[in-house]
Amino acid sequence: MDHSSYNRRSFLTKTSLGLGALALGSLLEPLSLVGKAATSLKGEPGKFHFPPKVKRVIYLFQSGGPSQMELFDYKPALDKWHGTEIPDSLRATQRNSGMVASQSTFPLVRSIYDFQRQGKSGIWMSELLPHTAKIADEICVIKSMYTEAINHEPAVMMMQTGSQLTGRPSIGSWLSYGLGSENQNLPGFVVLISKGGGAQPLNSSAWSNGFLASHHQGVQFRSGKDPVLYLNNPYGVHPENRREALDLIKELNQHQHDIWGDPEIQSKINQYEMAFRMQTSVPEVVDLSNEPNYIYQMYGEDARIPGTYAANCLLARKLAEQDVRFIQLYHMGWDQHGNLPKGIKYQTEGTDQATAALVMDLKQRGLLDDTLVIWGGEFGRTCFSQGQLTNDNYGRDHHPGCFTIWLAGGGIKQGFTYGETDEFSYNVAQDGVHVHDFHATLLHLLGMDHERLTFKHQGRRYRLTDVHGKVVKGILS
Amino acid sequence: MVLLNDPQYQEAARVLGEKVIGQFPNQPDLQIQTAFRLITGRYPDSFEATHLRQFYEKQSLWYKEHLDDAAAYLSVGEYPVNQELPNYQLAAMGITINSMMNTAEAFTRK
Repeated sequence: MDHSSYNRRSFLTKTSLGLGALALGSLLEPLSLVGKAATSLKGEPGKFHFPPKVKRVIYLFQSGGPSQMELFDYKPALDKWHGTEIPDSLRATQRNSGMVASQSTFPLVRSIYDFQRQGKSGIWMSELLPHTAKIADEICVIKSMYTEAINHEPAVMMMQTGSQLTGRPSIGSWLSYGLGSENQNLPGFVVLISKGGGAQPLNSSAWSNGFLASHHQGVQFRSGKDPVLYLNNPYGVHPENRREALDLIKELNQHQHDIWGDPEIQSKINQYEMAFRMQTSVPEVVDLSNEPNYIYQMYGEDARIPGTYAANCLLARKLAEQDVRFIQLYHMGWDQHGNLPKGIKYQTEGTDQATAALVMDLKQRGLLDDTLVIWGGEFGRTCFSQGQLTNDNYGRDHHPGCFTIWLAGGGIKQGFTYGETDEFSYNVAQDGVHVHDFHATLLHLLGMDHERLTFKHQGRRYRLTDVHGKVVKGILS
Repeated sequence: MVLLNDPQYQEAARVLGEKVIGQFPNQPDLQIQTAFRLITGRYPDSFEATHLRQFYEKQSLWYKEHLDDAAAYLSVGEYPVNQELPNYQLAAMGITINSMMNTAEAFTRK
């Protein structure tokens, strides 16, 4: 800060926040610019707290709340009790949404889809998952997830940021802040959303940097032919001219930063540099047309169509090969309040093959050992029917009390089931895993102690797990 | 990417360039200063004015040698190009203004 250039008028006009703005600059000088991090002190970002098991994460987020009873949580008791009312005393143990408030009956519903044990490990899966069945021996199914959020947006925020209210950094942003990026030419946090959507929109706060510097935010690639727009320079502008222009922009920005001390300016500088590198790195990585035919047989022909879930899974593998640290896919449409049998079949037909293919593909390339793949949504569904229960149709409402996710990859037990729900899949019966515990475990696998990765904001130190969370040792290999 | 390469922003930069060159022919310092004030709301300080001028001069020389590229740059957008003004100046000023538009200050509301 050059104090000699300040007179009273410029001081007052420049710093509308008064002294706060001057102090802010020196307090928040970012310690971790792209890739570079300070050595680790307690509570400061740094490299690993202990050796990591995985280098990258692919999070296949199934938005809408996939029904655990039709997929993984086999409940023969529901066969027995099908059609009878759920006891009021049991129903009262969990929040119910306003959507079922007008119902007068709450009949229990068995899954219309049959279950079988799969693989050598004998994991229960429904007939809707013939491809995931083939990777049964790779995955660890957690049946005892639970949360408090009962509606989509707070629940998605909870899964992605550790809080039902928006404003906190997402998992990928915490990792970018704590570990930097492995690949200097691509963003360290990429978001891919499948085309088609569902009734429930997704909020970009789910991949936001929250109160961390903005270059930690997730970079959403568009789902279609041009995942990143305007990569090409204008006509008549050659890379050298563009480089000179970027140097000028950087100088002007740096000059501004010297005056204002605004760390966001540093973020902008980083982002422009990243944009420049992405001009060359992105076209290569998003070009799926050069993949051999067997890849399309594995993932399904949909993988040829940019923007589909299958194509995004394939793109995720390519990004993983380039060491992008956090790759997040979102696939919507799992919110079967009604017409569940048809609806969920449509969902699995669109995702099962590509999901399993991704895991197999990573394994074949030797990447599965240091990658963590996560499959799951934001909550589960009710064991009682929403809307009318008929012979072949029913719906299920949101249910935070228990849901299923699975993990695969480095550091995770293979062919394993963790946790149990009660006989109706209404409450967790054994080894519950709260979202905070899931986050703690995720950070642990990446070599970070969730209690030590913190950021001071509004006077206190925040972390992804806030003041909660325990690492789930039972799923670690 | 949008701010750097989207045709809409290119065209805006190009047309603003024409305006300031037309307003102050052969006075690049004044042209730059005017454009800067229109974009950021303040006058550039001496550091900024110097760097912007140096950049403009360099681009201007380059486009003088590569008139094809200058023409290509100016072909973007629907607003007709002012034929009275030298192409290489227009292209160089367009790029300079585009750079101004891409500084954090230009697009951030404080």
